[in-house]
Parts: sequence; structure tokens; C-alpha cells
Amino acid sequence: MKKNFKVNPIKSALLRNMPPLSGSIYAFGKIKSGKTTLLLNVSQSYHDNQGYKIVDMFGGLRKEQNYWCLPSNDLDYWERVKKILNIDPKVQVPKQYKVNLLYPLFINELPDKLPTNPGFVKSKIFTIPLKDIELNDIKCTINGTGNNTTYLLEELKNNLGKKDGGAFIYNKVKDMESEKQVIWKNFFKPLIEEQLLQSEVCGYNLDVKKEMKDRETITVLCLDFCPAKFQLLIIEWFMKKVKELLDAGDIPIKNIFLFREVSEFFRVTAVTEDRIVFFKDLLSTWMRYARWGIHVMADCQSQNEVRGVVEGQSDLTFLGRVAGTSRRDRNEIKDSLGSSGKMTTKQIDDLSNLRSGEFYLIENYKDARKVYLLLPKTRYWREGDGSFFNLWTKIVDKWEDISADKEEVLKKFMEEKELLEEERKAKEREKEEKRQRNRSKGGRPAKKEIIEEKEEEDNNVDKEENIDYIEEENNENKNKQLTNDIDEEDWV
Amino acid sequence: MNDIKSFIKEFSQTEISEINRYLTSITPFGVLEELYALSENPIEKSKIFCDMNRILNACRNYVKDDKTRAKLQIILEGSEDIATKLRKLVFKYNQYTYGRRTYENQISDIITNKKINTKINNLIDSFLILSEKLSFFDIDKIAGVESGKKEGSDIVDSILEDKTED
Repeated sequence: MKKNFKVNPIKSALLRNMPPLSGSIYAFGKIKSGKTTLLLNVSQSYHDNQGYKIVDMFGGLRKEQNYWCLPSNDLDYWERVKKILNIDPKVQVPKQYKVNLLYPLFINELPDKLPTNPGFVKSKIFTIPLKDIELNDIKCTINGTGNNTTYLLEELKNNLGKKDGGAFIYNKVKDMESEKQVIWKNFFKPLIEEQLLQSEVCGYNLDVKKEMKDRETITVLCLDFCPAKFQLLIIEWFMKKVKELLDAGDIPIKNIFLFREVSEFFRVTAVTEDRIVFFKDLLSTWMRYARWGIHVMADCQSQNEVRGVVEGQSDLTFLGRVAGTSRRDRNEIKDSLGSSGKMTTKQIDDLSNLRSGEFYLIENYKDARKVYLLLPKTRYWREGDGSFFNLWTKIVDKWEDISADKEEVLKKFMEEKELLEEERKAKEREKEEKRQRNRSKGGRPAKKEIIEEKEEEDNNVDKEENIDYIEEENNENKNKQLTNDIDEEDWV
Repeated sequence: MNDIKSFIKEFSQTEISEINRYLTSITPFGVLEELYALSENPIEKSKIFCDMNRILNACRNYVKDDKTRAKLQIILEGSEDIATKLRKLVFKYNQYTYGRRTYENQISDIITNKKINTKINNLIDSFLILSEKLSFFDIDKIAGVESGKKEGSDIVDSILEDKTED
């Protein structure tokens, strides 16, 4: 018996099941093409539907990562979408996600109050154990690292105990008389003074495993109060820890890491700093080994800017509106997708006509198809919003006071530092006393003392010689001047 | 009761969805699945009517809102007596083999009565409208719309056009 099925037109047009990821996701498009909303929407879809853990790593210069904390305010839009798409009225849209805001501890930069919303939003300050610092971390911070850096780092790490924190390094460096080294001045000193680097047993150290195991909560790395030169260090350290956990099989492999305006790191059209080039390589490696469980979701304005860097690792690529005037961008797409038959010439021409939110989706081996992505269920950055903190004050205005935590960390550091300095001074005093005792006994001075005395004598001799030399030079100059004067008089 | 088709419009989307959720979940346990709901066979029609009456009655007790309950009461008005009569006859028809024909004739007599037939038809129609499977989608499983397709393009137009009006 023949049965006639009525096909639901809405059902057939919906973009429902996003494919399970094996690589990364990229979104390209000019300003206002809807990249920001796309990243949020697609990651929310993966999180809500397929149980992916979302970690928002980099919010760009606009610090867009914070907007996870607020549900969308497009109420009319969602009401309309619910009606048109026949969405279950009982489901809560817009959605308030559970969010953990992670702030690296920069004691002089962090404000005393951070956003909180009990049950949903939680701000955490965190420190990094000194033991975790490796050469790669330093390379992401300092532009040139040589043998001295490697030596000093190894020396410090070898002597580092479990309970040794920043104060220990402070004293150790003084002992080693390495205070003039670049790694100390540009890396350890500022980070220790800002209290970011702590001992292995410090209670503020971030438990990355616990954070990654909490699949429901969105983890947001907030670099709002992190000096620009240390931002890559924080990202690199977090990713390194995640990689270690994935290697050990301690956390599930469904993880998405959001990076906005990825051209900051992947820019191939301009010369960048060494540390950014190094970070670019690392990021590229993480993307390449996405099946570890690190799926990077990134956006960028022009494919041309990141040419060749990201093409190989892409799983899903979204192409948004391309500027009609940008011949270079269209050529780039023609070159990569048009030549392989993934996109037709008509589709490439259509790229400049796409509306905000419309994209061409290239999924693995499939040909490009046109899709419209809904707005995210959370808020997103918009012109006129100002800073997130202003918005938070207007809408929620609930804050967590962290001044006590800051004071505690600083107090502990100062106490340790004073204690270690006293110990060092006591040791020096003992040495001095020993030396004096030996001398008073008429005993033979230690080798070191002989060398020091000799050095002092040499220095004195050098000084005397220098004085003689300078006097001679002065006399010669005087004689020359005299002869010149006489010559001039003759001429006259 | 004659205006039942216009009265059904009084039900809001959420009311229909609430009733629908109950009806669609309960239907597999009844005889409705085995029968063609628009059948004009007197025995089958009686069975369908009795079953629908029973389910809608249960649904009336299930709904949260009193307004919805009152609306369902209006639909069910007068059908209870017919259902009781028919239920007895259908039961006897199924139970006995001897004298079956008599029961079938009695059922036919009731159903062919114009007034009663209208009531039965109205109840069946209302049930079908209320139980028409509303395919609600889960927003968590929807990322967007395939705007490359004709249907998708229309949907996107309606979403975005309304947006510009705002």
C-alpha cells in the first residue's frame, strides 16, 4: 500500500546536527558579517547538543569573552524565531550559562571587585606554580632567549622545592648574582612581584583538571587585567596543561577552544615579534593534533591574512560576507575552494551579497552550502555597549571582593621574602666571622680571600696606571694647544 | 456545539501544545492506532468515538489551567451520554457471537441519527485537531537554517525582514 508522507518544510530546512569534530573550525568574513555571533552560536550548539566543553581563550582587543555571563537581550528576535521555527515553548531561550571567569593574578592590575552572580557566574583568581614554567613559556614572553636564559631557568628549577615560591627565586637570583639577566628583569621579577608565580602547594594555583572536567560550565580565560606581554604566556601555560591532561587520558576529548581575531597570531602579511611567531607555531601544532581533543574555533576577517596556515587543519569552514572591493580575498577563495570544485563561481560571486549571519559552510569533504546561523543565546559585543564591566554594573551589579585574597598572597610573600633575606644575611655574617677568626688566629687565609685580595690590588694598580695615563694625555693636549696658539699668532 | 470548528480556535498555542503532549503520549495505549480515524463503518466509528471521549475526559483532568479545562468541558458536553450507550453496545457486540447483528443494527441506528452523528463527528474532528502532531523542535539542536534551499530562504527572509521592521 502506498503511503503519502507530508514533509515538514521547516524540518527539512533546519541546520540541525553539526558534525562531530575531528579538526578545527574557522570563520572568515568582513566586519558585521556575523563572525562573533557565529562562533558563539556554533560553540553553544556543540555544548548544548553534543556535550563539548567550551573554553573561551582569547576575546581579542574588545574582550568579547566576558559576554558569556549575560543571556541574550534579543527577546523579540527569539520570540519570532520560536514561532517561525516551531520551537518547543518550554525551552528556555535566551539562556543563562554557568560561567567560570578565570583571572590570572596580577596583584597591581586586578581590581578589588570582580563580577559574580551566585549559581551562574563565578570569578576566580589563579596563580601558576613555578615548577610549571618551561622554556616555551619564556619564549612566549621574551623576544630573544639564549643559553644564559636556559641555564638560569634550569638552575632555578633544580633548586626549587615543593614549598618554594617567588620569594625563594628572589633570593636565589641574588645569591647567583644574576640580577642583570634579561630573564630575571623581563620575566621572573615582574611576575613574582605581581604574585602570579607561586609555590607548588599554593592554594590559588589553578586546578586545570577540575576545570576541564566540569563540562557544563563555560570556562572563560579573562586577560582583561593581564599586561599584554604576558597574555601569550597564560594562554600557552593553560593549553600546555590541557595537553598534558589529554595525553594522560584524564579528561574527555571533546573540547573547543575559542580564539577571536586569530590574525593577531597568524598574520602572514606583516612581520611580527619573535614571541608571536613562536606562539603561532605552537597554536598551529595544537590545531594540527586536534584529535588529541583540542578543537580550535577561530575567526578572522580575511582568509588572505592567514593564508596557508589554517587551511590544512580545517574541519568546518564558514565563509561570511567578503568585501565586494577585495579582489585579493575572492582570488584567495577561488584559488583554494574554486579550483577544487568545492565552490562554484556563482557562489563565490554571491559572497559579497551575503547578509549578516549568512555564511557558506564547507564541511569536510562536502561542497559548500549556504546557511543562516541564528543569533547566540547569550549576549555578544555590540557597538555602544562600552566595556563589559560597565554593562555588568548596569544589568547585574553583583561583585565579589577579592581584596582579602590579594592581601593574603602578598603578606605571605613578604614574610617569606624577609625570612629568606634574614637567612641569607645570617649566612654572610657567619662567613665574615669565620674569615676574621682565621685571620686573628694567624692562619693561612682561604683561597677565595687570596684571590679577592689580589683582585683588589690589581684594581688599585690599574687605577693608578689610569691616572698616570690620563695625566700624560692632559699634558700632551696642553702642549698641542700651546703650539697651535703660537702658530696662529705667527700667521697673524 | 455546532460551532465547534470555530470554537477550537479559542485554544491558544500553548494550550494545544499541552493537550497535544498528553494525547500523543496516551494514544499508543488505545485502539486508535489500529483504526482509521475517519472511518464511517458504524462499529469502528463507535469504537473511535468511545476511545476519543475517554482520552479527552482524562485529558480534561490532566491540564493545569482551569480555562483550558473549561474549554475541554464544552467540547465534551453531550458526548458522554452517547458514549455510554455506544460503549455498552460495542461491548456486547464484541462479547457475543449470537445476536451480533442486533447490536450492530442498534449501533447503526444511533449513528445514523443526524444530531448524534454531528456530535460524534465534531468530537472526532476536535480530537484530530488537538492531537495533530505538532513537531516542536529543540532549540539546543538547531544552529541555523539552510538558506540555500527554497524553504530555508523563505524562513530566513521572514526572520530577518521582521528584524528590520523592529
